[in-house]
Amino acid sequence: MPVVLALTLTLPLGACRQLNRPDGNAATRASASGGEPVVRRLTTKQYRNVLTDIFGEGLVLPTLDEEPATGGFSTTGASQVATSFQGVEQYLTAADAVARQVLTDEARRYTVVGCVPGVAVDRPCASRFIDRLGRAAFRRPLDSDERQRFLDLALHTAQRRNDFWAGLRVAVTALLASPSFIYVIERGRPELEPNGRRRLTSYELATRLSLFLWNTGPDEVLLDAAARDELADPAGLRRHVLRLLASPRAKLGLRNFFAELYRMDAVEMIRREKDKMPVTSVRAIGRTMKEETMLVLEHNVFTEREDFRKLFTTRDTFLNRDMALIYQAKVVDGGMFTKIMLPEDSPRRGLLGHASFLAGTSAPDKTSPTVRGKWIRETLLCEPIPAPPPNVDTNLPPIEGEHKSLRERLEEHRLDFGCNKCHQLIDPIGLSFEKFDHFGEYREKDGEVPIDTSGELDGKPFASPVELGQMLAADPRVPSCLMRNLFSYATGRILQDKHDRHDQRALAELTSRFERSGYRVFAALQALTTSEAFTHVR
Amino acid sequence: MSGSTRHRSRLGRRQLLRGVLGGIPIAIGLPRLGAMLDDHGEAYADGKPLPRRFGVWAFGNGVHLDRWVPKQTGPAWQITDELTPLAPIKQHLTVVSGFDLPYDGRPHASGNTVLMTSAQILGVDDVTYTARRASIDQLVARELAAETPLRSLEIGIDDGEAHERGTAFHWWSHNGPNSPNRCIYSCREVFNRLFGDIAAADAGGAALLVRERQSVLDAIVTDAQRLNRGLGSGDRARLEQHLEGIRAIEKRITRRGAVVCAAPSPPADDLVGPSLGVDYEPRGPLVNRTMAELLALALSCDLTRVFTYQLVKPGSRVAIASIGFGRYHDITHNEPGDQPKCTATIKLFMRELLVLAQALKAIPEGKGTLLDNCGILASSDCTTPKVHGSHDFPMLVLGNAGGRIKSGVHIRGKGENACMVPLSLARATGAKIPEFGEGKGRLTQGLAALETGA
Repeated sequence: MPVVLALTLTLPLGACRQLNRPDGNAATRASASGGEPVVRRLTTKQYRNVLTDIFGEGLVLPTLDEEPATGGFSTTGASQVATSFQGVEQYLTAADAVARQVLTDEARRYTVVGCVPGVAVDRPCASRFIDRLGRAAFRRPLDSDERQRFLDLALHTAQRRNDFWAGLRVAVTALLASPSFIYVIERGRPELEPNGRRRLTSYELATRLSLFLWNTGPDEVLLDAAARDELADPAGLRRHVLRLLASPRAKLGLRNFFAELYRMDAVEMIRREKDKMPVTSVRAIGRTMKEETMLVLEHNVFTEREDFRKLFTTRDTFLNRDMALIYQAKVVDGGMFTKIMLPEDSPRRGLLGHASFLAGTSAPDKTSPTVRGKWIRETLLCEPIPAPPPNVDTNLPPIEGEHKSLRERLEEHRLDFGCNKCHQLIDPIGLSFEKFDHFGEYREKDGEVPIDTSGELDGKPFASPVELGQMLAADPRVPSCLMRNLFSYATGRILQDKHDRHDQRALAELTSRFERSGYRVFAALQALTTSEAFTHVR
Repeated sequence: MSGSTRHRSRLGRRQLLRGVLGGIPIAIGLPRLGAMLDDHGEAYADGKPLPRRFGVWAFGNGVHLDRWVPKQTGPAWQITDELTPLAPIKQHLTVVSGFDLPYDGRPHASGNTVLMTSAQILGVDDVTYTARRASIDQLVARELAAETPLRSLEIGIDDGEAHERGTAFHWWSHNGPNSPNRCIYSCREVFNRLFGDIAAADAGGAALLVRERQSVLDAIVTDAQRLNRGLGSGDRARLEQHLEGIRAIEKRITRRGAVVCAAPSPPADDLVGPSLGVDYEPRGPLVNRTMAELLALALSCDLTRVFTYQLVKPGSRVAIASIGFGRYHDITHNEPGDQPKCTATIKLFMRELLVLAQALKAIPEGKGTLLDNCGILASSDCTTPKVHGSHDFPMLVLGNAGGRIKSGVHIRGKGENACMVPLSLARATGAKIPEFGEGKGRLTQGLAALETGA
């Protein structure tokens, strides 16, 4: 990239950031220089998935607090945020509830435990079960101290109560409430490598892989591979990565990543006023919008394994009847999603034509070009926009007299120098989407007022969202930003590529491999999970 | 006969009070407090003073100063439009106005974090914010930790979307950066937290249960201690906090013998259900009433002396159907002119505050009521709905903290640090707290005009 262009790009953003910077990443920078956080919690979803994997479906799992998305993702949140006192109690209550359900249900306990006790204090049966459960729960074999501790707990209780299952119940409660279950530990091997890093142990790597690709703990196959140290060898690692990617669980795992990245939790809560349009389900429409985007992503990444950048220019999408109504497309029968291609003259292209983006960035009754522009900056370009300063009236001037377009009313943002620094970076992008209303439906005019869909991205003009899509597909920031987000999500660590040269190099390397693969996310997943940055810690 | 003797004769040791909790009739064993008072009703029989409680009650998006701040100062102030719902408890209410948050400013609708820490907000990255230090409620909780089974209680009604990212936008109480004390949003869970240990065991199984729980906890602590070796300071701190949580549970189990209250019946199942989600009505007011009663019980049974009660999250995004379409935060920005819908919402919040005040007032304690022995700060995350801001920060004080806080007056400042108010209330519990906050927010004194000097 020519130096001049780089300067032009960084200056306005720099001015915007300086205006409103809080004390600036102090917490994260501190942890980056002092070593990465080694301890992170399982996210609530991972926690549930692990319990389901170990004990089977149909468990009633008590509430656990969701981690706030500090750092953008549940995984980064889980590595930053400490467990509160109440949270500790929740884990204990949850462990107790799970242990009770599993071990008082006759059918389930025989399946899970796998042996029939001869007496109340049946050491061999208890011992075998605790070994197996311990390995699954702690994601590594128990050492002899641990085995003893939990076995003693089980057998002493069994004796006191004259009840084998009560003994196991107490031991299971203790196991599931132990920090070794709740937290993921990534210390690395003792040997320091020349580059100043430590390679993750096989068990740690198995865990990291499984949490990233399947959003759950490592299965027996992966744990066995770790036992044989197969993951230390690049070919072995690659083999297991491919096995994980081939499973339907990988689709679910990646769905979780994109749902968090594109903030689908807000989309899911979108509802529709009954009188506006005969959609089948007023309350479920948000989930339907989310599903369209998820299917499109899944198709690109797993089915077609094609260039990710097409997702900004494509006319392909998946619609069901309700979505087709919103897009005024040919009505598709039923609630099932089918793949369709929008007509050539459709104003929608790719992800930015989806209702999930258009409605997800709107208020219930009106659009917000500022929020749409901000979403694109932050989510696609990794350029965060700080919040407005305090004691400032951020409301638009009221509509009075002659009909003004939203563009004209937003002029206020850009006339005031204080506001302009940041708003010039986002409003011209968001305003281009004004022909899509707050529900993502197309409109020629805003009431009586004609709509101008032209915009500008860092000085480069475009005539419509279609053209913006083409610009984004060609913008080098987009693939780099995706890699950055993937890496942060995968490791639970906010990438410090702006301050730290290791991270900078890791990101550059990943992005370069992404490019060489033809920008295929499936290839990027392999590249990421076999990279040094993923297999090592500092 | 003196009033206290009459008062005392009503409270037999085993007297049961018939009440209604969440719509179902319950029988509550009266707290020991009533029965063990000395003749004057102001202290325990052994001479220890009645406990004073500290609480924070939170609503979102601020007030309209022209309809909130009373025109008169001192005891002769008159109720204003947005305070009308609180008229029935006016003599227990002090209005504090004219103070500013020591706030550099960003981001908007996060004044709660500044108010609770008297320090700037900490940015984890450019869009995620948390508290820089432990909040004032936890400063009190730490000092009083040995006195009660629970250090503190955090209750929330609205569990919906937060306005921005980071713990500062979800919760008011923090132990430190990225270490929030999350609210409990389920009545059943609050109940279990308060009474679970007591209610669960019958006489026979109790000892066995305690022993078993202790061994489980021992196993967990051993595991945590092993993990702790060789970790960096940040990780160690987080594991340490987890360990502290375990120790706190241990303490509650071993305290069982000193139980003060018999447990009431648990709340009805339909209050447990799905989260409040977007709509505050119809379940919100019912949940609020039940939570208020549970909190009143918890305080009167001396299960804790410190609480945070978040009616709605900072920058609240609830929708209130009876007032109008749209999420509250959006209405605050979009409603033109005088914003009658916003005012109606603020009054709804004040009605919900009244519910708590009345629940506390209904419990006799000493010469007065439980409310008298509380010092509760009711405040918000910004000054006004439209512009947010941090000047002339809206604060109410309920209760008089056992005579240490002035009640029933309007105190108006001249731009000084608003955080003096929570500091005064915190110290009124007896906690020392020699200093509070940092930087330009650093305080060593509370608000003298609010303190009686008792």
